[in-house]
Amino acid sequence: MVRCGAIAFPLLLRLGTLTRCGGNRAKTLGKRLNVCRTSMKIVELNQVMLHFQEDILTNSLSKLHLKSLLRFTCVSKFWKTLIDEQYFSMKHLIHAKNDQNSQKFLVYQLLRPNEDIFSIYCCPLSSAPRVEDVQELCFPLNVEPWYCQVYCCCDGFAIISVNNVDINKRDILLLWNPSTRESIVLPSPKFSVDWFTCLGMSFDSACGDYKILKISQDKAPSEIFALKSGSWRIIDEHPRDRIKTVVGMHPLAFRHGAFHWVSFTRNSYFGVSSNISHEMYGEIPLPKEVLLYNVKIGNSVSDGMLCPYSNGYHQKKPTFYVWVMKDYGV
Amino acid sequence: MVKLKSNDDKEFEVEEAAVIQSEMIKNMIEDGCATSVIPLPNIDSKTLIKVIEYLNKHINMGKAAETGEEDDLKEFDEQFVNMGWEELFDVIMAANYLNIHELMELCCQSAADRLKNKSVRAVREMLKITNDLTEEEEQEIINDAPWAFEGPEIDDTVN
Repeated sequence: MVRCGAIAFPLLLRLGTLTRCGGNRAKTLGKRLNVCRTSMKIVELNQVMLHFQEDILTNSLSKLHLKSLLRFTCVSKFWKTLIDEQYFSMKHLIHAKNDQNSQKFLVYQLLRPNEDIFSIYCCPLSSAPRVEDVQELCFPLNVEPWYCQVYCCCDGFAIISVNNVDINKRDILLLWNPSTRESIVLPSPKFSVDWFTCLGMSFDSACGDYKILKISQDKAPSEIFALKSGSWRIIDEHPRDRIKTVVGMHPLAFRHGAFHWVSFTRNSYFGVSSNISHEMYGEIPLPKEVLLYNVKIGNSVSDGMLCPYSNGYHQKKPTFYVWVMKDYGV
Repeated sequence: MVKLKSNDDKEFEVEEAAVIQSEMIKNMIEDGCATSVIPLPNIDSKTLIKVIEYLNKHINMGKAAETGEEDDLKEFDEQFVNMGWEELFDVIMAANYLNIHELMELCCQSAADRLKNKSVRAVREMLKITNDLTEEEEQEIINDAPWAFEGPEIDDTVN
């Protein structure tokens, strides 16, 4: 059994920074000004690096791979402050997103089927990755990856669940940055995450925080989690969204500031969107062919465009259809 | 032709098509502020010569793809950044001041390539940075991610 999720590598978003920082712009700017002052002081004291201004250093360092960056936090106080800044993480993230070589698949595979032990590795996006490019990842928290699931990926983070043998075989949900090998245990939602659950994660720029939406194929209510608040909250349902046709454990598509999935009502499918900031719902008509070929249908995002897909049989042949929606009524 | 004057009072004539790769000068010309000589108080003549060399070579960058000169430009760029740290910083500062995005990216990429995979000691020595972290602080950083300080690719040389 192999499952995949795309993830951008290598990134520097440090979990500590995310949960600690008030992400609003004014605060970030304030911190940056402090850094500038620090930089001036160092220049005066040492009479070196006269020309390596902060923005130029940021530009150069943001092109480096994560391992070098983590090591360079040890160069001096100024370098540490600069690299640890949330602003720098964002700059590094933008650079990595535009760099094809930074994009990797996160793959998890059943390693020892009899014991349900998984292994996780990453490999390049190319269609024929070389064996030497496949890199096995250290599993977070030193737990045995028993019944592991990768639910979704966002900005280099992955949300995974593992069945922790040590804690009464209870599922724990981890927010994990495989690049920095950091992870935090997320609080359990009121209705547990299981095989019928889909998660989506994205950054809400309105409040400067990452949010995770959990929806379920069964009757469990939808819940949203904001990283800084640290707790799950049940949200109202869309009035017509009675039968979510999501495939459990598939990540929720995120586009135009909203999570997307597909719902079914009275012989027709329609797309549902849920805005990340104010949780308002929207409806998106889907191509009518979706219905014809349907066995499994859903939404994904490619090249910044929402792509509904259906996987089923057409004229007795197994067929996978993808519609690329350049524009739609939102 | 546009006349540029370095901070050591040397004047250089540059074709307008070349010089407008600098957003700053392009704006000055558009606003009609570049009628005589443009003084550049932050740039010395040695650095300005380098920058003009770059501007002249990249004058028809948009057409390079059509005329098959891409490899030639690539080779030029590789040769161009083959300079010491001091000189590289001067060019970066000039590119920053004149707002020449491509040149800035080229030089910052070169700085990144030089730092890539270097050991902490090598970076400090190359850039003459004094370590102001205490031994405890340094140890704490290493303990946070010991794997980042190990590996066959880490290069302790200062070249």
